[in-house]
Amino acid sequence: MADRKVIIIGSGPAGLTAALYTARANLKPLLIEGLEAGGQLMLTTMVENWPGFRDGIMGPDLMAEMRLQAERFGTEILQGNVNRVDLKGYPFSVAMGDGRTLTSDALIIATGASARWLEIGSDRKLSGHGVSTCATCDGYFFRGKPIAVIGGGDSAMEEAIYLTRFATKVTVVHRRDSLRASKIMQDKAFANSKIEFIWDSDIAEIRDVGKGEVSSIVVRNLKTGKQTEIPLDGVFIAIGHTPNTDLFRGQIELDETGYIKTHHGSRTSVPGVFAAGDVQDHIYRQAVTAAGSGCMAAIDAERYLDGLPVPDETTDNAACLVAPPMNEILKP
Amino acid sequence: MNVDENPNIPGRFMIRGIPTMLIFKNGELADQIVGLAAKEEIAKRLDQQLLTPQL
Repeated sequence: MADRKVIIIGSGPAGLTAALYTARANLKPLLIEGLEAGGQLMLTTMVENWPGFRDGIMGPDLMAEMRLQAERFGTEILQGNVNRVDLKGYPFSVAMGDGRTLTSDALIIATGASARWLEIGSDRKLSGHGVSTCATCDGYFFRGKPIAVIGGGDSAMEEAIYLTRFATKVTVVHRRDSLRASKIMQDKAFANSKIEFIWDSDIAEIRDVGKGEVSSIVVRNLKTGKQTEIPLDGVFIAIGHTPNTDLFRGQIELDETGYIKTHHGSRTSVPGVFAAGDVQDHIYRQAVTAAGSGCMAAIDAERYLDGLPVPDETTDNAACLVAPPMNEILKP
Repeated sequence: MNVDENPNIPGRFMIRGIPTMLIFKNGELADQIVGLAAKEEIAKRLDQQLLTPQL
């Protein structure tokens, strides 16, 4: 017999909403937090698009509330990271960083996504020494200094605008000749006199790895190939996210960019394994959609554990996919 | 420490990111971990310091 009916991996809005719903369904869920407990909202300040809070709510406060709400209905929350999962047999097993192994009849994956790096070597080497992927965390250290933001999306503009509070000048380096960011964010960024743009360019190198601090960036114009060195003290990378799916590679189906493929709601290629939030969503990536998909995963897991058929999501009434009954799965 | 309330010490140790953990041995900076680290990693780094002989 498995240790648990449901284990949830991840503690962002998707994981905690899945916990809330499975707890209320009396499934006594165990949620494993992961290293980045609370998820990406822990690194944001004011969240202004979470419905129900007309004046906004601070990201960390929202996550603290979600956590307490999930716990109130009986979610057990475990600190720590998952090192390995085995989804090849039933029950599934989950190995923790501290050596513990837990088994579960159903698994909800809500491991989210993490900031992408440039992967030019020097960016990783200078991480925490002038290169950062989190303006709200590290912006403070660049008070009175010139810095760069890499990227052209909404989060790049948000970071650039936020960083003008501290930096003397923010240089935005973007690969294209126009921004991908929404109109409202573009307008805000263009109106800010501390922000300067370098178009059609990427970063060839961040110096100075030898000294262990950022002294300049080498910007490469993608049209002319010309390289220019710009002296500055910090680099903030905001070029999107990559899903945290390394744990599951080779065991469940991923798309070509590494996101978990889901069908019929939150179902993955392995019956009994469900996915919610940014780990399976490269389109919406909002706190509220993550929470919504966490709810879906909880309901799907509940149906699976009850041995109920997978509901048909097509309109032409194609044959229902039927999940194998639990007593079949659990036979030794 | 709260870096907002202690602006001088992060400057002295060239801190550019949080969380940063500085490990001191006999009052000297011996090791540094920047960013999130699992408990096992932190324990390993502390053990390294405890296991190296005193100079």
